[in-house]
Amino acid sequence: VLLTQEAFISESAEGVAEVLLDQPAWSDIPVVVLIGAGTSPQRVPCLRTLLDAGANVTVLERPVPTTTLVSTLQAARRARLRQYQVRDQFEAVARAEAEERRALDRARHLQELTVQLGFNLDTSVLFAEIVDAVADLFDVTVVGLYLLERPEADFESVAARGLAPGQIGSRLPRHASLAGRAVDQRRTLAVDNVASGGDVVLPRLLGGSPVGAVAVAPILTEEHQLGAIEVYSPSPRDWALDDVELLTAFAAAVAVALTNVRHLEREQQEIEARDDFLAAASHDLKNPLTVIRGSIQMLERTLARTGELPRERLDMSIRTISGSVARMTALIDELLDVARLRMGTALVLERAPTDLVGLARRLAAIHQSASEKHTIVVNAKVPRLVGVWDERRLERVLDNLLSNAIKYSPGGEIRVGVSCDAESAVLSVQDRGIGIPEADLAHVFERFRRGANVRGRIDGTGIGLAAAAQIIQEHTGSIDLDSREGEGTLVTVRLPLSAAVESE
Amino acid sequence: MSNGSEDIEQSNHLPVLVVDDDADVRQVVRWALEDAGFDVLTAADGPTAFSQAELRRPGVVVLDHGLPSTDGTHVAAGLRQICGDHLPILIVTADGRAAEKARRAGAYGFIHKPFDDAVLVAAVRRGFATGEI
Repeated sequence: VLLTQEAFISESAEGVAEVLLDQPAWSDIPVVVLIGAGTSPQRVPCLRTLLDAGANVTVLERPVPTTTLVSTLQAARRARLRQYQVRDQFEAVARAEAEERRALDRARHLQELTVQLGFNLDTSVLFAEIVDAVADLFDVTVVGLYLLERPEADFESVAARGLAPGQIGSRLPRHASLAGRAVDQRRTLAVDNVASGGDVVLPRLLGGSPVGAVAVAPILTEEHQLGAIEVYSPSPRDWALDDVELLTAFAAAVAVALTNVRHLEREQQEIEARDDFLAAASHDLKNPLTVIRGSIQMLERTLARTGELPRERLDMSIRTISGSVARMTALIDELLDVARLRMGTALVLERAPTDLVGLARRLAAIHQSASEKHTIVVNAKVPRLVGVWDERRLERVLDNLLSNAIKYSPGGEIRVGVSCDAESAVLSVQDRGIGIPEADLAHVFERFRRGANVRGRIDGTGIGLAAAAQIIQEHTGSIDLDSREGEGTLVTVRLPLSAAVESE
Repeated sequence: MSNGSEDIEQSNHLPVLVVDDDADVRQVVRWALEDAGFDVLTAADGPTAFSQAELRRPGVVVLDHGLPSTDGTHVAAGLRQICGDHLPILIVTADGRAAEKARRAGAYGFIHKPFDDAVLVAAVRRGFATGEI
């Protein structure tokens, strides 16, 4: 409330008016002006300016009784306070509306992003899009996407924005991390100020600065823990409730998109592997056919030309033809086993006393003759180890294991071990080859599965280990594979000795 | 093998290099080509094929596309580096994508396993004709 009198207004006339008119919402400011008795307000120049401009002016003629002055001022003050209240209320409504609009915008944005993620069929592009979408949604510069290959493995950073170089591909501990806790508790966690947040492991941000605040949502499906999305702020930040809700909703959308993409990739891999398998099977079947046909034609040519078949040519062709027929028979048997495996039908084992040591030495010799780069060493703890097993199928198992050892190692020693304990015969094949990536280890016995480091590089059907595992299972034995990428692979087969044993 | 051969027109020419990982297949291809009067060299893999080609330039290469560890296309490229871009290569395959494989390897032709000996010999003769142009 401005209280003044006409003399003062006259002296600095324009000044007061200007100051007043400069105020925002100047017309709301109550002005009480005391003027001399009989003075017309219109004749006080500045007062006239104010009145003409529509200012909120109350004119009192002197002498003004104290009570009048007080009640006028109080009324002016009350009016002013009411104005403030109305303004505050109005602002509160506007704020709420803006908040609602923002929430609605975010929800719409979330929906758009969810749809967009759903269209994505390539994991690496999907990862990048997830990170970009989160940065966009939360208006943050730093985001990390972490995935779990297995429930108890560490998180692997698969995509990030604003993190220090080298953080992508690095690992975040499964348990000593905020992401791990979020996954375990199945809820989004937010830390407003990491400095007071305690003992969580966090990545370094671009430029090496520490994290100020972090929010992390677990990526979960009903049965699987897939990973977590972390959003970082370089300085402390008060995460609002709707930030947490939005991150949770987005993580749910990511879980769906990720599951879909993985299903699709899995199916594509199976299709590719089936194509590879067909190509390899047709190659393997047509080679012996070529040999049989070629041998017969050679005999026909010779006979047509000379009228007789020289002993040497006859012997050679008989040898190659019968060898090819044996190869084709073995291949067709294997294909039938594979077909049974695909249909889920059990194998019918043809059990007979079988010497595992002899079998190992025989196959080692065959494979040795085919490779100059490898040395195959058979280490048998007993001279003979006889059990009642299906010899041809065990041959196929060892054949597969030795083929793999040769195929997936550049050279060097391959060790075949044969030993036994009270209950089982133990057969092992160890190479120092390229090994199997940790992530693929859980799937080695699935048909058409091949390691990420050999897919598309080394010929292979991906059927061998699956068939081997089935044969060993039918013998009520076990097959275990231990491998380290870059170091080599050890496969251990245990066969029960229960029926008719004789080892010397 | 030149005994009893009716057709020795190629014997003074360059040899045929047969590259196949299967020893028995190499053997029957050798029989068919030698009986037709060709001089035959064999190799089980890419590196052996390269060293053979360095020792003696082949007139035609009969290349199995499904070689283990080395893709047939790479073997073809390696042989061309040694013998020149015009080296005639005949692709032998067991699966259905022969034409595509032959094109990728820059081959003048392809035959399917199991092949007829007359088809093989005719294809190799065609290769020598290609090489002379």
